[in-house]
Amino acid sequence: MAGGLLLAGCSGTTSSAGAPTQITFQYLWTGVNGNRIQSLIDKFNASQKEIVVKGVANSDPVKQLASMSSSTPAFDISDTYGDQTQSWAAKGILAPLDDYLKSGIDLSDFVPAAMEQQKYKGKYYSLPFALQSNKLIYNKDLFAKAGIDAPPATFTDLTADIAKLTVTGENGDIKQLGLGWSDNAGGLAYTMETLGIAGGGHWDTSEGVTPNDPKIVAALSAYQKDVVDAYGAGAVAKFMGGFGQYTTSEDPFYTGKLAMIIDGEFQSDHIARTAPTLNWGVADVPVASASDAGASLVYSSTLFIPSNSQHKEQAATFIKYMESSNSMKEFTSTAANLPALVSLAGSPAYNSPALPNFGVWLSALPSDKLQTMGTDPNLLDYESMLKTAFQKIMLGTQSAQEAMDSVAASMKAKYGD
Amino acid sequence: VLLIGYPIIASGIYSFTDFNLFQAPQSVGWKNYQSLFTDPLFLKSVWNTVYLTVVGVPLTIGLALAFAHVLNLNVRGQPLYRAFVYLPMMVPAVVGGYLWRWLLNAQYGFVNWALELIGVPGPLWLVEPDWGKPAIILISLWTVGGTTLIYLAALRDVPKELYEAASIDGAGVLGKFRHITWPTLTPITLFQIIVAMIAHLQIFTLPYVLSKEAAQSLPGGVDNTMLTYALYLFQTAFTDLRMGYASAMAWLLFIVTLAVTSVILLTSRFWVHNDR
Repeated sequence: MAGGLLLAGCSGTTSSAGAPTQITFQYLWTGVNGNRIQSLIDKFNASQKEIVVKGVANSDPVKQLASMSSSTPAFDISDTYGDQTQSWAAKGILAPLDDYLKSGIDLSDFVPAAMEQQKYKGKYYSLPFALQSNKLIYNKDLFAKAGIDAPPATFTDLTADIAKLTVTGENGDIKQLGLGWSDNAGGLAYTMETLGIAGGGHWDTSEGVTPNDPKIVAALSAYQKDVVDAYGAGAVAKFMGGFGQYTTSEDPFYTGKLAMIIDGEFQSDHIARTAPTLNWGVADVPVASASDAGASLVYSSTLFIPSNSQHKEQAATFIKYMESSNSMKEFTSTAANLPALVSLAGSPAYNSPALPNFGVWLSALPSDKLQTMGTDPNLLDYESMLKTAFQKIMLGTQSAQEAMDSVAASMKAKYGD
Repeated sequence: VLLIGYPIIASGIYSFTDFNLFQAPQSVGWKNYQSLFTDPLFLKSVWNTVYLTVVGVPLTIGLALAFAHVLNLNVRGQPLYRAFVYLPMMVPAVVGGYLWRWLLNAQYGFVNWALELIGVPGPLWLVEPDWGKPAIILISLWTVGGTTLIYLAALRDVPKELYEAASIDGAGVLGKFRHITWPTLTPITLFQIIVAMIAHLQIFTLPYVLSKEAAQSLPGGVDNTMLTYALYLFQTAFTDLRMGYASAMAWLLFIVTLAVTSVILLTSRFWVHNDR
């Protein structure tokens, strides 16, 4: 803790008269995406003489947090995820942006669901820069082999298709699973959370978190029945435990072990580069009711100004540049993320052979069926509890109802009504 | 004073506050300490840590003692065998942890492949809740070389004349161990138990590496069965930013470690053989 207090960097050198103000943008993006951010920084610096932005890549969120606790700021702008904003705003870590957003930016153009997550007690504390949203990605060859000619549109179709697309061996070992996830880190949560939304449920309302929303429970119960009950929790765990690394050539969707996954638009780029011969398609996530068509989970990468920044005005100017249509388009179209601006949904910049099927995700941006995981200040803890509950569902140690009731009770015990 | 004394005193004060690093600490009295005992994750982390300590420490001591005896035999190539036993200690804990993640893979891992060769069905090591902690113990036993070498050095210090005299008196292998080797090794064993106990109570790296799946995800494993005390303390402090609560946890761990160490030291006079 004391170490954290001592972790103070230098930032935002105060300018002498006439000299440009230097501010620091510390970003979590690394590798090629870090280079793309640096390219945008270079263009900003070349476009004007008042502000010089210094870009610093740092992929360690703990270090990022420690830097913001110092009275001497390490940076003036940084990025995080939408589900972090409320928690950090409540703790006073983030500077409110409203005073800087009165001009030079059209807030009505942002995807509404993503924007809701940036607000805390009526004020904006961050802005979405890149979005990720889930769709059903399916292997066309495996569909053809199973005699299925179209991706499932409803939960009823999904149940039938999972049964047709799952292949087991003589000893009950699973050889191919109808619907699973290849991302060991977050795939379980993203899949379950998306199924809950596709079932017509809401993970959070203005009254608080709602993990045991009957529609969510019904959706999770259906998946538990279709996969865990049908093939055995042990067999499913063993099958998934043997998966290769996500988005590499050993990714189980790329190698045909999974016939369907629920995943984001970045797969367009990954599949094109890593598994170019894969015959795949994208469709809306199957829904419980036709009125929910297009329902899915959306999550965001956001830009913010820490409350200890000494150059908030300049930092806000840079954020507006980053949030402009051109900057956002340049980054997201090359990084294979969705833009946060609805007006970019029809942009030809994303019509690239390097991004096959990307348009299916892009065209869903204006949909009012997109949801985030909510705006609760304790959202991260909620998501952590949900992850544990999802694991119990997949291990068959709890029914979906029991697991979600348990999360509701834990949240109530910890944070009250 | 600045680097050690100040953090100790500061954490003691913060343990009675609600403090998130960004806002001024608010005094909450004993609330942090009281809340610990109704926090299910805290209780789970205590159970996981006690399990690892109670099972891991005796296994570490027993295995190291057995290895030390084998490495003390007068056989050709012994220096090489000693180096092999110590070799895993040279592998950084994080690297070793990632290596074991693959070795323990339920479907393709070498450990389950080897078990199946002898007709034992391999468990779902890092997937099934019941097997997370045994996996940690298994891996920590891989690095038992350091403890083994200390025992080996102590074994080589046992006077040969004592064994010769015992042989003349007709003592067998077990008799020699019981009446000569073990009494001579008890002071070292006391040291080994305390060091191993403290290491197990503070275990962090292995469960972190084995259960951490991505930069943004929280470690702890399936159903938090690998969430150890130190891991939960780290999460509480640096993810949840509940510095007051984390400070209370740190102080409780310190007090428990001190108490257990004191109990071991107090009981040592009944079983540690000391010439002086």
